[in-house]
Amino acid sequence: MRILPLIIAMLFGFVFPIGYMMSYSVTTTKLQQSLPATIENPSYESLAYDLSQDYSRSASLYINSYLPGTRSMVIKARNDIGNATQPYKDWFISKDERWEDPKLWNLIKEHGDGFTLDNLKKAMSGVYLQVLFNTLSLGALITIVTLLIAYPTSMYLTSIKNKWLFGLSIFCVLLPFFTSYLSRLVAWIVILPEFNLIHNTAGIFIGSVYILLPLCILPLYTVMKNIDYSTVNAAKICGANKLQTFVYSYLPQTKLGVINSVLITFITVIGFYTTPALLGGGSGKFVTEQIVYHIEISLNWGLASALTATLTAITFILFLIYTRVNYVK
Amino acid sequence: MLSRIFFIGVISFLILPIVIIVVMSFSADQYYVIDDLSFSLDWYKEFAADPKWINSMWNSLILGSMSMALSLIIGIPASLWIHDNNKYQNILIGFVLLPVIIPPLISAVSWYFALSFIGWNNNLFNMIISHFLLGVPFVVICTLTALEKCKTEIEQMALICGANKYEVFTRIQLPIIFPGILAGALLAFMTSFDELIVSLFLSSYETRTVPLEMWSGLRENISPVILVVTTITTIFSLITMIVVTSANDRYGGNSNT
Repeated sequence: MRILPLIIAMLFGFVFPIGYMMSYSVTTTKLQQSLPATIENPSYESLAYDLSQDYSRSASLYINSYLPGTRSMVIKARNDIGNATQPYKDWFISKDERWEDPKLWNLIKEHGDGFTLDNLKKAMSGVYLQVLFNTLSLGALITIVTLLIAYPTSMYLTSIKNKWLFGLSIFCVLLPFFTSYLSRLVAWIVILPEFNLIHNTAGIFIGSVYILLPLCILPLYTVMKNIDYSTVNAAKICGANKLQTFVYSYLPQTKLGVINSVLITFITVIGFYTTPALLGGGSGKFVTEQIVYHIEISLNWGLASALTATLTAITFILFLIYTRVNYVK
Repeated sequence: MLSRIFFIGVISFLILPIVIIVVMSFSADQYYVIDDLSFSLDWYKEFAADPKWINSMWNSLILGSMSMALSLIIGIPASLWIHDNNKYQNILIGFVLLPVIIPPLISAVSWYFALSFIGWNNNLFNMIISHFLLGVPFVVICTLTALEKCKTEIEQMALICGANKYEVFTRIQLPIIFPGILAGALLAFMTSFDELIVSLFLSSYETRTVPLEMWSGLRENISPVILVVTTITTIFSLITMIVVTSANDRYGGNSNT
């Protein structure tokens, strides 16, 4: 089984982290934060200890959301915890009989890592929905413009007969393709200020189209290179004009290339972080910028993982379409 | 005629930014001025004298070679297996391609969360593993493309003539697939060498790489030394490109990557 190391590496190094990140977006650590000792060791002694600490302030609210009517019970016990006497079990029960309720202790046991949809709901509403919409619409626009430039370019590329001219052209397409994003962005950071186009949407737009063009041209070129010209010529002989020949004969044959180019380009552009961050001047138009903001500055990891999970889901659906188009015949 | 002008325009749009960077890295000017054409090696000297850049260059080279080595050790046997077991080829290629298709930010965030959960603090180890995962798809794809050229009849002939499996690999398959492996190895190396976003999340002060230094340089104080670094990394990319395209021509493959 020579493939086993790779599979293990992929499972532990890739599938597990993404799964963990997705699960992080639907777990809450609120009870963990307010009653850590009790979750570690469910007993009246640790409960008394937790309630005497400052961090247990939100415990009442959280328990109340699962066991309605218990808020005052927790608050009363917490306010009076200074007078608590050994054994703690009797003291708690003398305060309120509901402390003995197995439902409460089950809650503590099960909700150490509680399930919540709050983060996902937040990520799919209000300002974050707007950001998601912005990302997808700007991404779609960039993809369409890139395709409209890439299609005629790769068409022309297949028609070049001169060997040296072709070599030069393909070199100009491939060199940016192999150069890193960051190096290519450095170029635009130098050039764009000359035209006053940096730190706005136009900057993001030009930079993205530049980065995506080779990525869009290559799948199209691969398909166009192998086109069957006999049907194109047949259409011409039968009296079709240039437009008709293109629409009814050439274009349908390049359908696979177009779909591949569009999917790859779109998946790449919605995951862009460096381009908007460097050329857009931190305008926060992309989901990716919001994710980094919530991880590094606002420290709201739950929301960050929910935003990442949304982006992952979109990417994954598009990737499934890609594999379906390419590998399932 | 119109289509020719359009084509020349697109081609210039693609290549001019890179040409401008390379030309400007030899300029003497303190600021980014495109019309200045004086020649000097000042920024190259400053680059070579700055321990910050030299350190990060070493870090990147070490990290790149280690993750490349790991990609080769794990990627080549895996591609041999995939080649022998045609049945699972499509699904496995799709699976292995995931780290390339998934945007790097998603992988970076996932690793950041998972590592804080596991509690591994060895930055160098974490970065090698993450860069290996990003680079191994290239090794697998390139080796597979090369293996397709390697006809099974030759392998069977060698087996009939008394060669064992190890000999078949070293004396028949390896010489044929070597350019493919080289291309995959260089791509894996460049993936690590150029990787910014994952390093942004996982690196520490000791494991600062070249892209990280460029990133902070671009956001804090823009110095023309960055143009020198960009030129150097572009030369690496150029070498990779030449090896990969010549390997591709040799196998007549039209790989998507």
